[in-house]
Amino acid sequence: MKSSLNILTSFILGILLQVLVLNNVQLFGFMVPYYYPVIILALPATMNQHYVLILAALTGFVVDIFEHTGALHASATLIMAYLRPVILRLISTQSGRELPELSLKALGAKNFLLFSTIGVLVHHFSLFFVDALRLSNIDITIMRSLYSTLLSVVVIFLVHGLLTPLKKNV
Amino acid sequence: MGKLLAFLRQNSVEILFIALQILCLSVLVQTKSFHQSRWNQVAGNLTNRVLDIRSNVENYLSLKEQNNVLQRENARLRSLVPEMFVLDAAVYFPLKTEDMEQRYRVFPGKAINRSFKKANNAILIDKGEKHGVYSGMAVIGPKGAVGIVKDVFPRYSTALALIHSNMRLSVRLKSNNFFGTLTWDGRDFRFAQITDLPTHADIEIGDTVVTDSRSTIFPPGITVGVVDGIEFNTVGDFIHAQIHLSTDFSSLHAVYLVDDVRKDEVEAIMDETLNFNNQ
Repeated sequence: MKSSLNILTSFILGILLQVLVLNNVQLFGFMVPYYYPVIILALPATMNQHYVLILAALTGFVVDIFEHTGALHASATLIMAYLRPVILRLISTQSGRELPELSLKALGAKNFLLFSTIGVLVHHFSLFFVDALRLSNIDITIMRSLYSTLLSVVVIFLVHGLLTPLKKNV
Repeated sequence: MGKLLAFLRQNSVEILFIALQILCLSVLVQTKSFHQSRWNQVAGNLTNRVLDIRSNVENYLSLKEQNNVLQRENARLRSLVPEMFVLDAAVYFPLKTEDMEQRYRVFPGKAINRSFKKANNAILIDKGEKHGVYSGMAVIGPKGAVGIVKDVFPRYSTALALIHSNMRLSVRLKSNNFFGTLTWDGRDFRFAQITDLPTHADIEIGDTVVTDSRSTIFPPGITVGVVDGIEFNTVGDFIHAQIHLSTDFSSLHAVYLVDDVRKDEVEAIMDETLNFNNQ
């Protein structure tokens, strides 16, 4: 009960941060920070994958409504959520499977950085790729996703770090 | 049949993923083909309200800057009204626009401190010598005349308000040209008085009072106030008129400083005339 309340809070706060603040940021004209993927990435590892997928589609769709992009973000977030267990296995923290929350605090700075970077990269690449199918060239897409990933990870690290302070021994 | 069910159960995550992805992509494709889809309208109503709040917050946070921009624009526009120009031709006909010479130029300023409860009220303005302010400049506000610059400091200046016991301002009625001198009796900061209107002056309650061209400080035609009460003074054959000032001195913030291009010339002539009279 408490954990689902936590998830709901992070869902609402994360989306508000995204649509009210971060959507207005456009660094150098093409770098857009996205914070909301971390809402899905930080869900408990033990959570039923069906729920994760549905929640991912929902989160992306709410962002879509605000950005008038159909279901672009929903699609990208869905791909990221589907690949989340794979990423988790990649960074190979066996303890990670049982963690109640895949947060900065739970994973430690290094693992969380790796985990969120890969997750955000997957999300951004699919986002910009689907978007670019009708807009522009692949090299620009790759460049955009790389630079935006950089910015997003910085924002995620700052905001997430503020919300869940590091343990002293990490 | 059992095998199919088992297969579905085994790959339920993948099936859900593919189903949701297909849903997303079909929505995406549909949004692209129907630019103004029904869904956009429904969802737009909801999100626009949230975005409207955001824009309100943004507007509020940038109010100060926007005010400055607007005040600068106002000063520029005020410099362009006909009252700020004088006809500068030897022969008045035919009228040509080249003959109109700008006599008054308007600059923005801020009243950063003001008093209105004392007998001698002054206003502190955030512009000074550095910005081209000099003693004797007219100060006007958004609603009408405010006062006259007295002391000038490097970055600040003080102005005597219309509600200062030493203030004398030449005014006239807007509808006809009966003129008088505006003074302040020191009682209510909302009202000033004209005590030297001739008894035959055609004056009614509600008449607008503006600055007169006899004033060498104010441009003519700047609103000062509205006639609020009339009293016939039998002793001196003058009308005593109560004027409701347009400027609310208790809430004055934005002011405009009026630079008279011909001030030196006019003052030199006035000095000579006075000397001549004295001789």
